[in-house]
Amino acid sequence: MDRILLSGNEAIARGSYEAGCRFATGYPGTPSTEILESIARYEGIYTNWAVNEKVALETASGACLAGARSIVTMKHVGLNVASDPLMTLAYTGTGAGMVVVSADDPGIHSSQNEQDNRWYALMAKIPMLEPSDSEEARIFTKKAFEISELFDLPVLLRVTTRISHSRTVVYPEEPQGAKESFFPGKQIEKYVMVPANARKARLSLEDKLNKLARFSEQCSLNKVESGSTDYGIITSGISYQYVKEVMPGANILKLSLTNPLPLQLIKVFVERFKKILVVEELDPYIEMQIRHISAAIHGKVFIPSISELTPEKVRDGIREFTGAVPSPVSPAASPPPDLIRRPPILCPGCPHRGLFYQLSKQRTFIAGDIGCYTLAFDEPLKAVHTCLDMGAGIGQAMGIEKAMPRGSKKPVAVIGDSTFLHSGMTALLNVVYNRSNILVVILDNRTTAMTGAQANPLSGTDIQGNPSPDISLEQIVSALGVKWIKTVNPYETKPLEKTIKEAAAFEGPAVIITKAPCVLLPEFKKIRPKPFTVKTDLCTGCTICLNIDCPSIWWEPAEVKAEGKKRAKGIAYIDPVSCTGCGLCADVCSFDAIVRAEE
Amino acid sequence: MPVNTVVTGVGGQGVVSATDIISIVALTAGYDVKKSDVHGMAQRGGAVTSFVRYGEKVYSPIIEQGTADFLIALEEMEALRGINFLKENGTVILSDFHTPPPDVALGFKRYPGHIQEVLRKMKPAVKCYRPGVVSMLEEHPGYSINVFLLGIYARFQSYEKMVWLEAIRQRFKRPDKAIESFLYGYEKQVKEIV
Repeated sequence: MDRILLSGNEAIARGSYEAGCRFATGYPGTPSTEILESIARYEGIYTNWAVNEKVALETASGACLAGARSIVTMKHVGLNVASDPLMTLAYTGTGAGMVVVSADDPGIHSSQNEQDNRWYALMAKIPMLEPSDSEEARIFTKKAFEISELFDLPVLLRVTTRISHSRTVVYPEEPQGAKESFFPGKQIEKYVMVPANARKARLSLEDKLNKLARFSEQCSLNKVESGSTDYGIITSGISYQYVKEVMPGANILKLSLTNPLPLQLIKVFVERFKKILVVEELDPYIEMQIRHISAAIHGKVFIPSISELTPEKVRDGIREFTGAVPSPVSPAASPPPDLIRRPPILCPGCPHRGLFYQLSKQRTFIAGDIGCYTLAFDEPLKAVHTCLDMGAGIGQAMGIEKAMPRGSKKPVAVIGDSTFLHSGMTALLNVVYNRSNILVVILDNRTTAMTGAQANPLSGTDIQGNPSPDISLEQIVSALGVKWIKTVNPYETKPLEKTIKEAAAFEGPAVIITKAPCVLLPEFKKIRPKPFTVKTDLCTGCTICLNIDCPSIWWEPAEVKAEGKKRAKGIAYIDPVSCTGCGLCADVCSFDAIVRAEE
Repeated sequence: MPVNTVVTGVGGQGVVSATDIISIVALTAGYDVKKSDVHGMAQRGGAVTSFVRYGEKVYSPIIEQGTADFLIALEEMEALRGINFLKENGTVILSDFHTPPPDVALGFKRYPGHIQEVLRKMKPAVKCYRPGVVSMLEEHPGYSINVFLLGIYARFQSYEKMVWLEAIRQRFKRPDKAIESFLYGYEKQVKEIV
């Protein structure tokens, strides 16, 4: 087959297809999302979006019990959610091959932290593979299924943003046939982890680990590349590419099966050289496990443990370590220090904007959550005051309510539809059960928007776009015991303001559902056709429309326009290209100066 | 040594599809190719930087500072955000299109007027072309900035025009306007500025 360019994520999907994988599930999360979206396009692999990572891993465990090779995908923090089943899956084993993909985000491009998930492999006592480009991502995925079946353990395939989102050359192969699945027999001692069985499983896991350690020593994925330096470099994953970039002639031990580490292989490599530098991104995962071998092993003294590595950082580290590498070429120029920042903001037309405009006027505490709406933390809205993890806001608001002085304003929690279904439902039940007097706003835009509009149980479609059963958010909230529920249109700010006041006045937990489709969805375009425009003779320059934080509304200083106006320092201007015609600005304008543009 | 190109711009402008097209062209020509960008925040309007490298063998998917042969800026001030990647004697293909960042839109700050000043100070360390995106859009409202600037960029590369057109067809479901935009840039007379 021809060579093609694939992202690391697409290559993992390709590898799964080639490996005869039959079952794929996960929860969207940058940088992992495109793996499952790509798998869904292959014939013969049952694929779904799960409501969260824990459920995904448990479902895959069932599919493996029935003989189907399965893959589960998630971002690094998703594995925190799925870690409960993972720890014990190592005890029971999986049956058919299982690959768990953790896509880590060093540098925190689109996450709330940059935890190094390689520790999970060590903690769960499961094998781990770390590819360094797309072709390796494809091959290692297939290899991961084999290793999983060889040892009857889930295998962690650990990638990072740079692997997931870089496109590199891949040489695809024909798929191998998938094995027949079956109705599982009862293997009670193996799969029922009561203490008596778990103690036996713990012993057999130790036995597997010993065998795995020997396997790792022989595994062709761990390899030595001989060079001409008097020092050696031990590296893995994307860091390998940076080492090759700045020191192509170095002696390198490239580790790809990184749990368990091949300690004998490492020892032999280390003994060949005067000194050794471990080049790895984030934590000293390899370094800490091998430091006992020799005092000549160095790592994090020279290579930063914070943020993403770059060729520059690796070059600097090797230079300090050896004093021998030439300095980098100096850039032709540097960005000016006062360069204006350009952060992402809520899209023009975003249905969340109206809610946050109203909430920004309330003097209360607003616990936030994970989603596009977290962006309302910034100027000028400043209407999100926490962001911790998926589903955290409801619990945080409840804690504030219980601990705050009596008579304080009712705290608010804002949470998206997908995040609510992921892990907000249990927190809301906790609120009702414990009589917490908070307001929860569920922002229902019918999709998992932040990761690029993936379907969820409220979207009405599945991952392939097929219709899914009708699920009522109001009924879920009602069944959790909430007595005060109102669904509102977030573009109508005055009724919304009234509803917020009513909810705040209600004694007990209240839920407002704001319902309107995300601008990324096709149904958005159907309802909001023409852009708006400013009537320059009516605009007083009061700036109230700027407070809704719409990127389509710009401030035009007075010397440019609005000649002859008294006092106004400028007026508003609406960019006709990016304006979606949502009408929120017209709704907040007190002077009828914003109108829908004529055709 | 690989040829390194950095593309900068604003989310929604087509930064990622620009480097996609360059990488398809280089793959077709038989080179090793790596391209990298960070995406996944679906919201529009943020600064976006994308790297593409091609050559006999490419290791790092990201470009080291001071080693980019080309910088294509789809939005004028975003050229400054990527300027540190450019090497001496590198080439800048600069859009004159402005999208105000939030601080400018809200009236807190002025859009920087010193972009050409920065580039002028670099002279003769840098070559710059500014082929008039705004006037192109006035003349042809449906054209795309990214592919238009690729048309200028293509003239500095050794690939046949047909290879570019084929890559554009491969990348877009409805490529007609993109092809017109590309050809408009490919055939436009541009002089080195600053």
